Amino acid sequence: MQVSYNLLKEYIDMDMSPEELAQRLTINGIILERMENISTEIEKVVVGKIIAIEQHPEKKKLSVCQVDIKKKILPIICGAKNMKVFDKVAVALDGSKLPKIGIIKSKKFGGVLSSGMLCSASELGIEPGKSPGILILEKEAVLGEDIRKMIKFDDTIFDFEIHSNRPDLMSVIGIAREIGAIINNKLKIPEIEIKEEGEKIEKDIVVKIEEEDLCPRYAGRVIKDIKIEESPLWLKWKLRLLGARPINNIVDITNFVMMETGQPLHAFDLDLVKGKTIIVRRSRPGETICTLDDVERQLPANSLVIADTEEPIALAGIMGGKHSEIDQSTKNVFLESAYFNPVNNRKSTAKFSLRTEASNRFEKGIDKEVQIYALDRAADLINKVAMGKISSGKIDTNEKLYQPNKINLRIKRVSKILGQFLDKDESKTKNKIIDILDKLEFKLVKDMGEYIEVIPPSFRGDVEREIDIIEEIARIYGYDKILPTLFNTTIAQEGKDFRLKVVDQVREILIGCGLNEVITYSFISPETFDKIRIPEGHKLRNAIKIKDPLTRDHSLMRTSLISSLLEIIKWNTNRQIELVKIFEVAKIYLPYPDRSSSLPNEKLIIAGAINKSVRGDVWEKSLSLDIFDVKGIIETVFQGLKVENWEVVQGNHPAFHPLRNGKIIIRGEEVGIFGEIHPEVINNYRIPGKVNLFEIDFENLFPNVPSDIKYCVLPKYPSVQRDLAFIVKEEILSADIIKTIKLIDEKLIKKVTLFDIFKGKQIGDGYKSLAYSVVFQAEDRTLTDQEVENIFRKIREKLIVKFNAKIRE
Amino acid sequence: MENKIKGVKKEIVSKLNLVKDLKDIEKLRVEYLGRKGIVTLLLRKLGSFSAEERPKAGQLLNQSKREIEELLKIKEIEIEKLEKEKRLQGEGIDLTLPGRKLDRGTAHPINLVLKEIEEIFLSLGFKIEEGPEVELDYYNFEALNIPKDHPARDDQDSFYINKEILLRTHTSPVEIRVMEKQQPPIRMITIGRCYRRDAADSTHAPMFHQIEGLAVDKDITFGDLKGVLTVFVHRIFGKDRKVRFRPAYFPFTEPSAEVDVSCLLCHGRGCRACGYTGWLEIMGSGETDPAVFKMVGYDPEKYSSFAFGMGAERIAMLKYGINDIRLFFENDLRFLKQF
Ligand SMILES: [Zn+2]
Repeated sequence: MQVSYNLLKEYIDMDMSPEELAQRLTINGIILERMENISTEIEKVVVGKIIAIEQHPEKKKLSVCQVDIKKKILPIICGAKNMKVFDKVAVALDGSKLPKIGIIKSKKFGGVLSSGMLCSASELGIEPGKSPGILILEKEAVLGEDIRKMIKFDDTIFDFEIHSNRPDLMSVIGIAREIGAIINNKLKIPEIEIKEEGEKIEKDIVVKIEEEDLCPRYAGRVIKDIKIEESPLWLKWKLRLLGARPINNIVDITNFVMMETGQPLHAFDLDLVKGKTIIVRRSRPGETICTLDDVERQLPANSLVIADTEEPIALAGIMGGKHSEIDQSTKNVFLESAYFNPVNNRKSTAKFSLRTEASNRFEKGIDKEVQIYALDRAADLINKVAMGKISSGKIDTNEKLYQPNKINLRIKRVSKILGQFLDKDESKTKNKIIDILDKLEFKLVKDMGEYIEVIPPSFRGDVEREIDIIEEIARIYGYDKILPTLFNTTIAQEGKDFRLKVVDQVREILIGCGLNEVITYSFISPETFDKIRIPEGHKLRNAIKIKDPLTRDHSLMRTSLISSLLEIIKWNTNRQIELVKIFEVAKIYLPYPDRSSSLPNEKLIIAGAINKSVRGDVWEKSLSLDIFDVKGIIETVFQGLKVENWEVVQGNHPAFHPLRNGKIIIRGEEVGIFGEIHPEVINNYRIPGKVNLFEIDFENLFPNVPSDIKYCVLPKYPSVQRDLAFIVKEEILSADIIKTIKLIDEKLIKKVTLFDIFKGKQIGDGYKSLAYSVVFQAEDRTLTDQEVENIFRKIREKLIVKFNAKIRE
Repeated sequence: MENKIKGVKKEIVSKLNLVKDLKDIEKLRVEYLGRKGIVTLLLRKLGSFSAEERPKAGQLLNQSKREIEELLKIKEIEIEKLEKEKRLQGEGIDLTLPGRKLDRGTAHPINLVLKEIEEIFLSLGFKIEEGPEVELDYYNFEALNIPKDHPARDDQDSFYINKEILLRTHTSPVEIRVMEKQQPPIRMITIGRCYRRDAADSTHAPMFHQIEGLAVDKDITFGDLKGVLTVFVHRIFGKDRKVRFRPAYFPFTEPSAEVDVSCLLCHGRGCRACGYTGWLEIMGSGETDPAVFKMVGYDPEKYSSFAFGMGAERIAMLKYGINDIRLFFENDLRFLKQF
């Protein structure tokens, strides 16, 4: 809501500076969004009257005006076309000062002297931008008078953010009233004198309400014989302060009164209302209306409209129709001041996606008692400004719309909610409460001792319950005066559960492994699946669809983190970052295929990816990142979490290289995948080099994380280590060999480690040489050489039998 | 005899001064103390001394032998030390070569901030709760006193999946879920991703992180809200920050308060960052509206409560001086590695 300091002062006396005022209002909940000092230096600009206009002898586009400024008549050259003889205008004299232009001097144009300048509204700072012609003043303007006497150019404009529960503050009077409550001063409401003359209103108009629920109150007046003109300077200036553009005197008055009182008004050209009848009804199938913004609109059935006997002439509470618009030829008007149902109004604005100053107020719920005041205020102004004659009588379909709501307020409840009494003296708390409520114009109905009965004012439709009143009391009392306290009780609970602690631990380990954590959007594009080679019908393609996404790229909820990480690698390699090691801990969203109405299964995923496209520094040169680096990271995580008994089997995830693609299995369940990203996928993302990536399903991993540690007694007897090298066929898996060795003597064989692997001509095509170290240890004795040799021999024999190994001596 | 011995000692001292390496010392040792060495020969001559002279000369000779041994030893240590030093001099390396580091990674700045916030509330006895991101309209809006057609829904333009399911626009639904399943006292925070239909620009992102807190008990007051949140602001932004509570409107709290902290850049004097107000808005808060209690079946006469919520991105932007929210989601390593 835009308003100015001087404008507010017309409604409330205050001696605060604009800065102080903004500060006070902000801490009371009316937040200042913007403040602008519009003080301009205007000097030597006076009211003049054009007494003659001639064309410039040389320059066809210019006119030479003779302007009477009371003391003398000045020749002034002007490029505008909108002035006529006898128009009153703002004349910048020789040596005058204008805000944007600076000093104006007499000057010759094509041989003719111009002793000043005729000002446009924008040149005077009355309109933003550039006005099309010069400013025409009202006839009543006093010849020769300094323009600064007509309007106060020094002012400060505020733009306040109004909370949606306070539509009463969407008006100058509303804000002034709030200031009054804060500084304890009385509001000055403009007085109205209605001069009714001529025929009764009923002769010219009949109002029929077909939808009382949607339009519970409809009031109106008829004003005749008006003169449509530009608004007088004072009104234009007020509109400028309120941030509205002047149109003509009638429209300007309805706009001004709306912003002054919070009651939207609409003026119809009475002579264009067919059948002399206003009908408030729902639209019928197939009806259309051309609204004031020049848009021909199809009316969805059941929209609330204002209609005459033939067709809709306005969208109720939103915008008027083009047909009955006020224009230069309008003579008589019907002025509407209604209360429309807020919920219905909201629905309609959504349906038309058309939000106006009027609908913005109706949809939040306006004061149910202000209709007649606003109507009369506008009628009075039309009478004064546009010479209109107010027909006698008015229409008001429901004087008793406002039903006072009595609320009980328990005095003790206030202190209980706020945590303190409003006065050190407990007994004075009640007086203080009553005093605050009085400032807010709440009516005290009865004082029952323990509680009081109060009625909120009509403009405070948001106050319905005891708690609402308590908030009002706290607000005016001042949040700053409420002392901060800390709980007077403690509750014992586990702050962070084991699951979340494990998540933290995983993140710590991954950071320790040198990975940088990323956070990516949960959304993906439908093209993602093709890009990462997920075939049609694959379960990963079953993703949650966003009904109304912002972009196609963000239209699905992801079912895997693979594409998100690849995007980040691409982003970084595109920016010459060669070594990218990243991880993310985030959810995927899997719909339950059989239950479309239930919430999806949200699974926490730990995913990481590494890529090296070019050589790094002197050490990194020797670092080749491959599948065993990602596998190593997974092993480090498992080691950190003390997860054991996991195994790796060949995987079949389509995003990976078909042979470099592993699945991690714990107790028969898949816990994760890792591997080298398929070259086609790499190509789809245009990433240089190879990417190795892993995804661990935290929900499946977590049950395998031990929550406590059991200490094992340290061995008392020495261990013995023996090494063993042999040649086997290439396809034999190391994990199988280790398993086989361990099974020879599960008690005494403590550890089997692969320490060398070699392929080459000496070994032969299709074969590899493996070297393992085997550690033997007994818990109750020192092993003898003979014992170790016996087991070792069995190992060799087994390897020969099972894997056809050629033992190397 | 005495003179002879003294002469030998003098001789050896001057020879030692000329010694260059351990070999020279060994040579001297053989020359004087070896089987045919000068001192050894002298000792052998002892037999030719008279019985009276013999003990004295023997004593003198033996003492001199020890002294010579000592001198040789000292010189030997000295030379050894010099030689070791010389050897080390040859082992120079370029210390400016890069270290072979393990290259620790980094936590995402949002998680860094979340962690810090989490720690503060954990220390105040709050528990961490979790809830779904794809949420029912009921929990996201209706149970929070935001029925369909409520104007507050405009401020939280949502991504809907279907009529009843949407991406949560705030973390508040977790509060409802917790209150539904347990009785007071409650002291909880919840942290997570939220979604609003905002096109990305320097201050908006369609996805962001929120931290939400709730305390329900028999005597929770507005004073407690102020106390707890003041402690929070002081810990996260520093003790010298001023905190301001300003009336606000949220459908699910009453009274409601917006929490401001004195501007981190201008210290309250007013600058562009704070819109020349000297204050930065950091979170919303309030006492839970009785209407919300009714939805979860709590008796508002018996219990009271306060709740608060803030955006992690905003806190991180203020804390680290980041001026574009998109940086958090671009994940440029040059950005991430700064944290
Ligand atoms: Zn500042």
